[in-house]
Amino acid sequence: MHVEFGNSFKKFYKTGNFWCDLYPTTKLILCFTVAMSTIVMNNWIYGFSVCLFYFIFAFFTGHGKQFTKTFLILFVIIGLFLVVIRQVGMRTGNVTPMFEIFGWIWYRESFITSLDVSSYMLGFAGGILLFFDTTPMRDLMYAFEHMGVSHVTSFIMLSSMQNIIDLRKTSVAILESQKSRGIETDGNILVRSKAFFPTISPLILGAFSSTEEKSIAMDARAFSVKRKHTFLRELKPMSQIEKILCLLFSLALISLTVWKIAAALIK
Amino acid sequence: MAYIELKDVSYRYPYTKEQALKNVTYSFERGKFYGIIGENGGGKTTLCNLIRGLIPHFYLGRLKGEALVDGVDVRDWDTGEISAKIGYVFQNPFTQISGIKETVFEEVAIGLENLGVPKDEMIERVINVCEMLNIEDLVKNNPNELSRGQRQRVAFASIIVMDTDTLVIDEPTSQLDPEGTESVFEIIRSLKESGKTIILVEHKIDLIAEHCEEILVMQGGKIAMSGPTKAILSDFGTLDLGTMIPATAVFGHAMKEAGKPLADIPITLDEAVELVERRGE
Amino acid sequence: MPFEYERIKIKKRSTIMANQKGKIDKLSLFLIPIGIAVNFIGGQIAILLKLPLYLDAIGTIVVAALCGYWPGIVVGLVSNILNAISSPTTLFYAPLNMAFAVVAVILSKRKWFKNFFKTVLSALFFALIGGGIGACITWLVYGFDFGSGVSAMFSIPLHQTLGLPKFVAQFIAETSIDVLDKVITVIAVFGVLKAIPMRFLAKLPLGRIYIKDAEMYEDDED
Repeated sequence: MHVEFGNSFKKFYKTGNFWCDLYPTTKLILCFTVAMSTIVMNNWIYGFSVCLFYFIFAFFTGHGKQFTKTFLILFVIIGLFLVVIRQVGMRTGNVTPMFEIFGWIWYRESFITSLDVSSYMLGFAGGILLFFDTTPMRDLMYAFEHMGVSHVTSFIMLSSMQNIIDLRKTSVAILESQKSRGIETDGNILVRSKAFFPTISPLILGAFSSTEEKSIAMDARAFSVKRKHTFLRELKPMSQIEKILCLLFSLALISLTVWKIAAALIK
Repeated sequence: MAYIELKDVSYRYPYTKEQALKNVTYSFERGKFYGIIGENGGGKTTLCNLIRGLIPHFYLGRLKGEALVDGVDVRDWDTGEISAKIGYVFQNPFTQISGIKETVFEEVAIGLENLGVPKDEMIERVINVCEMLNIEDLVKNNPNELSRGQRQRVAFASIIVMDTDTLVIDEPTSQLDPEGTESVFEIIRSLKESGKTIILVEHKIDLIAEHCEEILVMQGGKIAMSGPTKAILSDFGTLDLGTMIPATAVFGHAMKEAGKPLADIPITLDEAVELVERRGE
Repeated sequence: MPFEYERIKIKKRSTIMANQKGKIDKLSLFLIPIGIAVNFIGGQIAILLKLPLYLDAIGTIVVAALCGYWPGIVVGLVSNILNAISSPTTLFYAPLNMAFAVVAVILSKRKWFKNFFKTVLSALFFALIGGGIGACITWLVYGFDFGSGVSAMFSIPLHQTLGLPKFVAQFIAETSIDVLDKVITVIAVFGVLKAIPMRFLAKLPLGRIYIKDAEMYEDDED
């Protein structure tokens, strides 16, 4: 079994999904250019169309449920909230009333601006979200290392993510043990604030104390050796098509930006 | 020529008044199995840190004297390259797991990736080491979700797989049950037989007696006693240095006291049995 | 002449007290992921204790105070990037976290974190920067208007009832919310810095600042 598993590393790692198996950098460039395009366009029709596209596309990648959950929350936080705020916040410039809700008049100008802004905030967020939902961090780091980024960066990113998980478990344990020691965690805000310190302090100190040994352990694994690294788990390199796609999308974004700037200047 | 040579080495950790190593002079030869014993705080781990080049590169502080590894002073060694020569395993199973890999197989391979070993060779070596350490069933598991004993074995595997000339091992069996301990010692013995130099710090004196060729007893930063295993561990004087001697040696001494001495002081069970049988004839 | 100097430098090999190889030394490097995780955990614990605070800069400030500019900035930046995985709009606030690191280093070098009162005062600095840079970023990103965060609940009333210009209202709102958050943050930082064992501090670039009576150990030859 272990031999089989070991030998499975001889092939490129694949998930079977067309989008997910694209090279991480490709996905990054495609998602990023689309995300940025919503900011450049600053138009709610474009922005929300892109958002709709994200929703549909997410299902093609097999990550539909996860993406929808997170993105919908953002929709409420950013989208809805913003629209309401703009209505409340604008004191001047509101001329055209749109409709009325229990005597509260909603104006067109604020509404449109808020739609524009929320469309690009969500358009940007959606693109980044889609990228991270379909690209594990270790794949992204793999791509970076191949571009020449030091494996130290890779280590920092991946180790942080694991540390967050570890510290989370430890924090719950520490909080429980502090409760059993009689430290009050329910009560008014002052009481609860005080409970914060005896919880965070041992957490941080404990984490620090193991750092020294951690760095020695990684050093023993030749972490600081200045040789070219090899990789056990490999991804299929970028294909010609992928390279062309990236170029096209990047050029499209640049042209769009230039056009918008030019249009604004002419005005 | 000695592989690792220490000439009048003294060392003080930063911001401390006491010296952790005092005028230590010793030569380690290639291919031998050394055991380092002694009370806690006696300088065993400091000595390991020195051999590994962590002193002075990582621990800073004040180092005097000469410490040569393969002819080159530790001060001049590139810290990265020394890890390709001298492997290091220590006690804590939690800090030795990197946290950046999702399967045990990849975890073990980290050292080889860093050393630039070609992939096919890497896979083969990792498979072999996993078999050696009985962790074949764990290869797909997440290293961050293993038990203490499992982690320790994985950490051990990750260093052995690097196939360094020398291994400095600091209490590797503290997390393991007797069976696990036995198997780890067997592995260390087979590594020694394949020509590696082993420097082992341990408290399990019976196992040290069985496997090591030479012993150093550290106390107060000095090498209080050193020599062949038999000589050191059968000497009652060793007890004054804050360390144990094997139960069989205590037995041998007790027989001597009782006026019924054996031909020799045994340090292993097999030896004791043999001596008792011989006396019976 | 220059060659003589080099030889003299090399001769002093027996003593090395401070460590600065390149931008980030080894130990600081391994503290970075811890700092990042601490930034996340601060908020977690706040939620568990039902505190309405972010507490997401403790790691940044501690690492910056002990290790210097680059480690601190990396902690701030990477925390931001990891946050962006589930909440991409926080990416825009990256300069904020990096600014906290810079301020923390400056204050640390001036020994502010060794004194409780100065530490609490520093919270004001952090809040002002948080508010200031935060307001600027919100302003730019949200199209020269109010943002959609918690701050809006305060900035809008300020704007509507007091007639303050929008930007000023935003600035005041963001700073005020931040003050309490930063006070708790810096007190936690103070406690941690005080409790770090000496032998650990000895290995950190700015650790010397927090060692009591460091001079006592720095006599030269024995």
